[in-house]
Amino acid sequence: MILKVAWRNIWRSRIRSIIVLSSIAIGIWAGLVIIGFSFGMNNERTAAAIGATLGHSQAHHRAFIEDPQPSAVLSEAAIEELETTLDAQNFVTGYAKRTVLQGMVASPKKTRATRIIGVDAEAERKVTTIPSYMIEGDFFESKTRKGVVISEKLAKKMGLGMRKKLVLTFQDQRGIIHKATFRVSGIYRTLNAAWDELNLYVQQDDIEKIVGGSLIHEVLISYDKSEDTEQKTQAIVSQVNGPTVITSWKENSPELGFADDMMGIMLVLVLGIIMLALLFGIINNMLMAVLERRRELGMLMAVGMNKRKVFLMILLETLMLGVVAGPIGIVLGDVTVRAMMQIGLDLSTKKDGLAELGVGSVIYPEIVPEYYVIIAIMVITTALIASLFPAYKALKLNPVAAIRGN
Amino acid sequence: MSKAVIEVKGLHKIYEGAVPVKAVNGIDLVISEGEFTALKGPSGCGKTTLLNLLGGLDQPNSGSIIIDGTDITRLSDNQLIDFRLHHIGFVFQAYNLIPVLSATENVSFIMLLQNRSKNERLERANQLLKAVGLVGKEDKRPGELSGGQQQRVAVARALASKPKFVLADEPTANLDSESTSKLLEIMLQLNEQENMTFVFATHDDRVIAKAKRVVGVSDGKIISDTSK
Repeated sequence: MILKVAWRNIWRSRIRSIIVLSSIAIGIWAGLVIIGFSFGMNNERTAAAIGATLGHSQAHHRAFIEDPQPSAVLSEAAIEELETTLDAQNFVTGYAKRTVLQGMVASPKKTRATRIIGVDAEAERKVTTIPSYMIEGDFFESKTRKGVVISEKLAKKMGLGMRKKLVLTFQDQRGIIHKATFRVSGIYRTLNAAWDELNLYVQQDDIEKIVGGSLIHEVLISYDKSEDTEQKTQAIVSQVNGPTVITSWKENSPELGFADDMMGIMLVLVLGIIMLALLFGIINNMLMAVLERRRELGMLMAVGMNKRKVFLMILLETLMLGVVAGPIGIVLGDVTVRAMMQIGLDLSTKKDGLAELGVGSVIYPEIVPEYYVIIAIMVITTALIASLFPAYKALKLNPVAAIRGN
Repeated sequence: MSKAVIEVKGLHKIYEGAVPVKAVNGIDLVISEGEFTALKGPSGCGKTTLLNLLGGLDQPNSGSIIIDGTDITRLSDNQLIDFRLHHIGFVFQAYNLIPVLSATENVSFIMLLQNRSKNERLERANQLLKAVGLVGKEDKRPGELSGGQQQRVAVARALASKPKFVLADEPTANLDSESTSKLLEIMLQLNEQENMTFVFATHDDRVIAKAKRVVGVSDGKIISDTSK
């Protein structure tokens, strides 16, 4: 019956209770929408970076990690060992061997520092999503000799366009400097503006013909899913010996890994702030409810309701506010996020800024079920904390004075 | 001779302040089982303070109050709450019913605090509501009842816990003549049929006229004690 009393007490002041319930529900709704969009944005950025540039993990010679010199190549034996290991892992969906050289790119107008990535186009297409970011030409599908794929950003800065010539200057593993003319066969634009500005792609065959031999600096590895990347990477690491170093995408892009790790903490902080605001609203509501019922509480204590039960009654009333509003907020949030998953949030006006962050202009939120549990726990905890002060005030009432209305 | 339900010895209660007020000033009183006693006196004479002390709602400065063999002045706050729950019934001037509960639920609530079963609660509540003449009003909430009817629910509630005695502070103060007569009639009936002890603090002549024993209080002292 105490439960019944608590429930009916909530509805004594209908408008006040509806206002408090609405504020809790809206707070939770806002929290879920923020979480949905934050995760959507972060996951899109991470997925785009993994897909287009990072892979799930990468293999290099130890010396390349310390200093990416042209001489820090993976030997044929190391590559063979790595390939055997990767072929044996059922979670590895593909890998692509790359040549990575620091060099200069020159157009008739300008010269810039660049990173030249030599790729086996066939393998690269299986492992990365770069071909899907082509805005002009193709990713070495038409067999153009000495073709180069540059970014839109680089093309603009260098004054280049399709079929225009450019000169690449780079050093080989023996320290010999080569200068070769390439022709733009494709222009790409990823979501990562910083990557686009620095990197251009050429075919590995062309590089090998120029330097006169195989030159593999990097192996990009792709997994079936992005979950448990660290464990999967460790499984490969444990089977590869010698100077070959396998690093996960979080190690290869620490800023992206840090953002991913911090996301959860930041969102719990945001939720904490929302709950803090709700806390004061609930305390205020319950304090008013207790003070309005001084006479009744005094009577209950006079006739023999012990302090534990008085406390329990106030606690139940406060918890009920959370129990009623919580599911409403969660359902509203869930419906909103699901609807936005179809529509997306169009931020085209902030397109350039978002591109700097590696995110597209339309953001699609994601459902993160574990946060529903976290929110439910936080609401209950908030309600429990909010009940303490009003319950304390109730317990401090003097029954005689309260019955008199003093 | 009837068994004593309440034994008060040398009771003093002083309210401290700029001028200390001796609200109860050396009262000795014995109330026996089945009595229908009125504590009468003008406002501020100390009768409500005495009633609060008898009900364990207030602590005296000195003296003892022995109820059913227990000196309640020696009990802790928690023990007093439990003692009140099982030994004392209360009727208040302003009824003080729980507005969100029906008449039956208001009467049952105190039995819930005593951890009695649902069936027992319902059976006794209905029996008491019948005894106070509220058949058909069981599901009404206080707001749907008249003042007299609310006070009758309060009497039923006071009796629900099967107390040793009922303390009533100005129970008729807010009632009209007809409701007062009806209430007194019911309480007398319960007194006679169930041998329930009633102690009233009142200055209502209608209550005093019906009381079997009238204790006069003035300046915190008993100045008269007459039995009819």
